[in-house]
Amino acid sequence: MKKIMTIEDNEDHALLIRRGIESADCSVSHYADGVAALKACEQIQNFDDRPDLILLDLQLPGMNGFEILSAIKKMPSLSYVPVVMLTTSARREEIEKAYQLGANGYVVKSEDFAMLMTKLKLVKDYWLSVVESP
Amino acid sequence: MEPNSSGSFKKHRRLFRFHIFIFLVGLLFTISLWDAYYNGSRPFDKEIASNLILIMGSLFSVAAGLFTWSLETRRAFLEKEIDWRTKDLHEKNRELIHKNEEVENFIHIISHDLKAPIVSIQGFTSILKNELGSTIGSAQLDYLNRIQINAQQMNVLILDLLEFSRVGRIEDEKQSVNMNELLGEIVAELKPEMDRCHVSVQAPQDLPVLWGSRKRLAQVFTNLITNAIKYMGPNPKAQINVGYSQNGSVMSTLWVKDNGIGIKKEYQEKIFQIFQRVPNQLKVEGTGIGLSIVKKIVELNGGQVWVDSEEGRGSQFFVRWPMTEISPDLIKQVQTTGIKK
Repeated sequence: MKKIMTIEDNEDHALLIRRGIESADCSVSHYADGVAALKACEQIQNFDDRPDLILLDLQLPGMNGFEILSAIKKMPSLSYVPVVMLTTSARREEIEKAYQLGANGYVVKSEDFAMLMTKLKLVKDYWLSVVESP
Repeated sequence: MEPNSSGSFKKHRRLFRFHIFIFLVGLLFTISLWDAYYNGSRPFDKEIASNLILIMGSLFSVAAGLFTWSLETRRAFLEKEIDWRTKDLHEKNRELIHKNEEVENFIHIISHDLKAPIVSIQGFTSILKNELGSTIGSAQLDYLNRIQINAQQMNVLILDLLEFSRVGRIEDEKQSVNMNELLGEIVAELKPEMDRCHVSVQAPQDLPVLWGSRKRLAQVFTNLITNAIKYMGPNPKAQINVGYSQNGSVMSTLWVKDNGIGIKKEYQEKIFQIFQRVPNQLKVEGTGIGLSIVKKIVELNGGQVWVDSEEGRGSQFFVRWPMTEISPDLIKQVQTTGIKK
């Protein structure tokens, strides 16, 4: 079973995201803050326990999304797990920064619900089925 | 900066002038005495004259000394003055950086925190609508739709505000823009809306080539044409015309003319201000930011925008825009004084 990790502090958004990505063939683990998520990542020992995809919010309490992204990309065991930023802001500066820090995608949370669901499904399908982990 | 620096500077300047005056008087007096002594026609008491020359010479030396001293203090004073002003500039610069950071934070809040609730509102309302399906009553469905329309308006407002703050804050790349080409693209993009309102856009084939950011020029004319469509009203002969007139070799004035509902005289200045909307019988929705973005873009590029309109007969929006690169100084001058229409 594929594993998706979501890091999102907004409860409502977490609920909506879960709706968009949850399916019988994958499990979703959710973290409301980045520090807890990073701790969980550090404790992963087993190859099979690693998430296959991380969906990361930008605006988070404590450490923001950029800081968490760079921390994840620096972890040898997680550096090649795809991280897709999932945020409300479509500011060019932020998109550029995310890619510079190694993000594998940047998805703007669309206020159009149908569009948001489509985006989430596309991101999930792409990273979970098209791309194989080494 | 020291509070009295400019006052003491003036005092010092007066003292400096006084020293120059003494110096010149001494010099002139000595020269004339010298001249009288050697070349004068009148008999002259040589002893008195030589004493006078001696006195005048001493005075002259004192004046010269004072003059040198005065120059030296003046130089020192100027140096101090430069120091103060540099410090002052640094301080102002720090203030500006601080203000800029504040604006950045504000924009960050708008783009993240204000948009987040909209995503939630739209999301959960959609889920409710989907899950209730046909079991929902028509009144309840109407309420859900109203929630969504309001959230949508809020979203448009946030996007417009972000765009308004982006203009001028982010440097735009400028180039020569063929306005016929650009207008073609704008009209193609607005075609569905134009077809729906049974309106077309007419323009000559020789529109000028303007100098500016292609994106910003597109924004200006898309906005003006969209407004012309929105405020057309029920008109069987709906027509939008685009044209231009040349004002010399630097500026060109393009206009967008419609035969829509027009704007009352008292509102014609107001519509370019942010959040100012004109009451209209068409009940057109809007954020009141569109035309203020147009004005901001045009003025930042050294141009001008104004309207000529008659209620019930239509409006003509004019955009004066440079055809060649003009210096930032000239743009600044235009912004503060304005050019004649």
